[in-house]
Amino acid sequence: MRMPLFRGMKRWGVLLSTLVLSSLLLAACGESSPSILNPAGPVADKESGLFWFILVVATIIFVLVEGWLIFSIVRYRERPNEPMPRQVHGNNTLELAWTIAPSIFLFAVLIGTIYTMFNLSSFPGVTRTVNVRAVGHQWWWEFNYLDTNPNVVTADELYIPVGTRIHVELLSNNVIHSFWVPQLTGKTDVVPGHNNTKDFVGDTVGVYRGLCTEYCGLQHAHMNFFVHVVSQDTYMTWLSGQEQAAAKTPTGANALAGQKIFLGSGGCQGCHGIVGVNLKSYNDPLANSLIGPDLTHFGSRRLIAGAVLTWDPATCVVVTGSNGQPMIQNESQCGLYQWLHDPQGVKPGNDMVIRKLSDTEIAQLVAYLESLT
Amino acid sequence: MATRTITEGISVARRRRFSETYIGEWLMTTDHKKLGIMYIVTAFFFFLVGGVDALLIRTQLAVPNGKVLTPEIYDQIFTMHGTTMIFLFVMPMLTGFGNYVVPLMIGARDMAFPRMNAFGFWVVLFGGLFLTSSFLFGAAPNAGWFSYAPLTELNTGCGTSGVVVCTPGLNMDFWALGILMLGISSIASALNFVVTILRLRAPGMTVNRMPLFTWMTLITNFLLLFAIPSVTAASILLLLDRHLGTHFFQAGFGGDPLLWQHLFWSFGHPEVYILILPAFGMISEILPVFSRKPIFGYTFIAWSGVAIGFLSFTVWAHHMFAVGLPLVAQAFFATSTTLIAIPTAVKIFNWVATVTGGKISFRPAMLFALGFVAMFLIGGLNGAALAVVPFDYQVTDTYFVVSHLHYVLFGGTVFGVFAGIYYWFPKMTGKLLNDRLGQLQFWLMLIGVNLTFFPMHILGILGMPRRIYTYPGNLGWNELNLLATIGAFIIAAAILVFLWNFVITLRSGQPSGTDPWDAFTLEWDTDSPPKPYNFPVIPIVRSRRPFYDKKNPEIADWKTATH
Amino acid sequence: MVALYQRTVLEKSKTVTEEQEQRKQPSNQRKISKEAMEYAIDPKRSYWPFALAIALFITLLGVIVHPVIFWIGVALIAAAIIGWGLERR
Repeated sequence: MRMPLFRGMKRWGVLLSTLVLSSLLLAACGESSPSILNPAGPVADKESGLFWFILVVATIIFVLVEGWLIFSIVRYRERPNEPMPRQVHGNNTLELAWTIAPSIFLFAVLIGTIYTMFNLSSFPGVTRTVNVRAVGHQWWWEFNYLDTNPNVVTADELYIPVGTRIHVELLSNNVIHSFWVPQLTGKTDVVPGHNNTKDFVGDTVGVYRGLCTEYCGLQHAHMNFFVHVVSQDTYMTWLSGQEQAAAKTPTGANALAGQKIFLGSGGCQGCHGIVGVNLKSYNDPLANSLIGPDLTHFGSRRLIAGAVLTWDPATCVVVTGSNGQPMIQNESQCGLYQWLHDPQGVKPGNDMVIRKLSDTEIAQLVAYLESLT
Repeated sequence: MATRTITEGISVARRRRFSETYIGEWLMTTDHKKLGIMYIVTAFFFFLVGGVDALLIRTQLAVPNGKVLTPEIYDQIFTMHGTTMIFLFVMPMLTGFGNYVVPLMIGARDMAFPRMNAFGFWVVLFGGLFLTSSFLFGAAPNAGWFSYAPLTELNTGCGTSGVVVCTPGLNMDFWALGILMLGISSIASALNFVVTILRLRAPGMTVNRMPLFTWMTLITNFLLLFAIPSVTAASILLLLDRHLGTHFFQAGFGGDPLLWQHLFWSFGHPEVYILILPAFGMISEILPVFSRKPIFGYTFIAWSGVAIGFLSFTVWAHHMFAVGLPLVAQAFFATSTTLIAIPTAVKIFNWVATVTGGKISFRPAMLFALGFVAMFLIGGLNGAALAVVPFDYQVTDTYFVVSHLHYVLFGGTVFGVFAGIYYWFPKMTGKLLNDRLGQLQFWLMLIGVNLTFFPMHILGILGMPRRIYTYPGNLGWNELNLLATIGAFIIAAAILVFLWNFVITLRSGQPSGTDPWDAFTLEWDTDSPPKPYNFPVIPIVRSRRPFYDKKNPEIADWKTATH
Repeated sequence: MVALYQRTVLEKSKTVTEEQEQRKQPSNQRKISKEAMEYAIDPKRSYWPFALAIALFITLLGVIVHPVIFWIGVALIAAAIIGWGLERR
């Protein structure tokens, strides 16, 4: 049963190399990806260095062994009238050699692995520390800044100063989640009942995507967050801004109407807190019974509900409609409209189950939320 | 009406017993060959079920923001894909081959415990149907195939404040009960295999002379005996938590979610070796026959298998590097994982050395065996990469791991299974599967597997987590996902080619005779298919290749080799 | 269990001797037909494995359906094990 062998082998070789090359090319197109090979901090840097080392080694071994296999297949394929090959049962020297050589090599890699592991959280030259508590909810991230008193509470977006050790406490009161920012650090699981922590540093200013990486239920796919690495000054300004309570009464008729909806019976205050409005402060005990994210400074955030949607004031302009009522100018462009209009449609199964809001009410709420900078 | 001839050739007419009807024959059989075929057919059916699950997943993920499946359905599908493929396809398939081939290979008439053999099969069938029937209730398991607590807990008491809904509904009960049933079946058949292999070998067949498929089956079944109790215990504890108010896995009540992970992976890691070792054994039989020379380094392959068996119990927490274990513990598991790579590498070298210097014929069985070596190498390399702990912190729980597990399980075990099918089909049916269709299937599968799973390495590196039902279109994951979906459908085409081959061969396939491959081991010294009693006379074995010796008495192994 | 496999092993070695004796005798003096011989060697069929599997299935079903079904299943398991043990082979 003779196969057209050379054509077959060449065919396979061509296919495989096209595959590898095109994959690499496509990978290069992943510039907007939260890629581990695009590090912005020393932890991710060490980890990506390990990847390149592994890639080189694995490629060499692959080429050698696969090459040996393909060579043998081609060289020793059956030809007509060939005698039975030599019945070799083994070779102890060879066995010893190819047991010992990989062992030595693997152990060298292991030593490097263990050394890197134990030094992952040492950041020489970094003097400042910021302490954050990341709480995994189903399905969004809450961030508490532990260095302020009371702790500043926000959601979806983690602002951190550049060149500073970020010490994160990981907590969950529901299921296991995992905190991962590929460009800054590898992941650590958030396990109920355990006090896991992780440390990392951001050494390049920028915005980096974080993801939940432990299957945690229906909307595990939409439990993302952004990490903003900013200059020390920007961070201090941001933090002091966050410490301010929201205005008791907002300016603007639409915003005022929006606040009324927030505070109305069956309104948003049943699940969400705004410091200065329905919360006296960030550590108001009432906050413990609110299952939704804190909205005190929602206006300066751009992510909704675990980054399932984004929004900004430029695309969520409130205008007066033909009926004299406020409305959103371009509803399909405004993420906040889409969320308030049908949260279950956007993120099925999440905890925000609300009555149908009219377009007017949504516009008023958008105006109010925009004012919470 | 049947007749039964008793002494002196006098026939007595009587009513046919149920055991002699066609259905009765299959329902009441304890014959290892029939049971082997029943296992294999059942397993293949579940392979198709799991494959449909996979195609649904890939269709949903082909484009960003896919709307093919809702998250509820998606979560059930991906969970059942893993559960079905592992427990209802691979394990019964490998058990089926072991059942059929091992007694023939060791020159026995049947397994040691024929009735327990049958019991093991029926439990697999009922367990599999039970588990799959959960779809009909809209309550298929939906917490992933390794079902981490406390997501798997029922409503009350989930989490520390008992507020959040975890997994209400019967889903996880189906899973836990299904696993219990399948575990019982595995233990029953493991006991059977261990006793059979240790006690029923033909005279002269020392363990040092038994075929490597038998060796690997023996090690696998020891692993089952020690690993299954762990997952059985864990499933029972989960059922207790869900129904009797205990709190084994619930923090805040004194329990610990990580207890589930330790118990599960203490089973889960030996389990993956259970899934691959028999395939190693099949390859070790097929490569020599189609290279016309003995396996290179028999002793080293056999004892590497034993080493892997022991070491497999020491590596479990390499599935848990990111959960917050103390660094020293992580270093221990990194070390044990590195250790276990060594015997695996030794095996690969020995397989390639078997082929070197041979006279290779490219029948489909050999194509799949060679493909196994090529693909398993990739799976082994990306697995060793995962042992580099800081790198693992980045890529664990991402598509990088999905790529690894599919290279070893699909590129490894499934290729091995098809090699075994093409190899032993003639023995089981007396017909040869079509070679051209086999080649077509091989190439389609090789291309499909690489197209589906290679891009997943990159997806993991680009940050794509596992088990997400959709993804946004602006993260650079779109093209690679589409590529993977195309590859999945190419694999599906390959399977269709196989099914076609199977059907036409049964109908009008070329007769194979008793020894189509000029093979070396005892199972080929029987009829095709073998008589119910296997061997008219129990053979006496003098070397590792008893049938080769019988056919080539001048250059028999016991004359030329030193064992 | 031990007795069981000893019996199985012993049966097998007895069968080998029978066959070898048969081959020594000239064929025209055959007393036991080939068919009966084959049937004697073929492992006997049994419905107890199937019965025990069904009983196990019912028991585990009872865990989620109703405790009564669970206990019925347990009784059926006991019956099947006893039947299995008492079966003449």
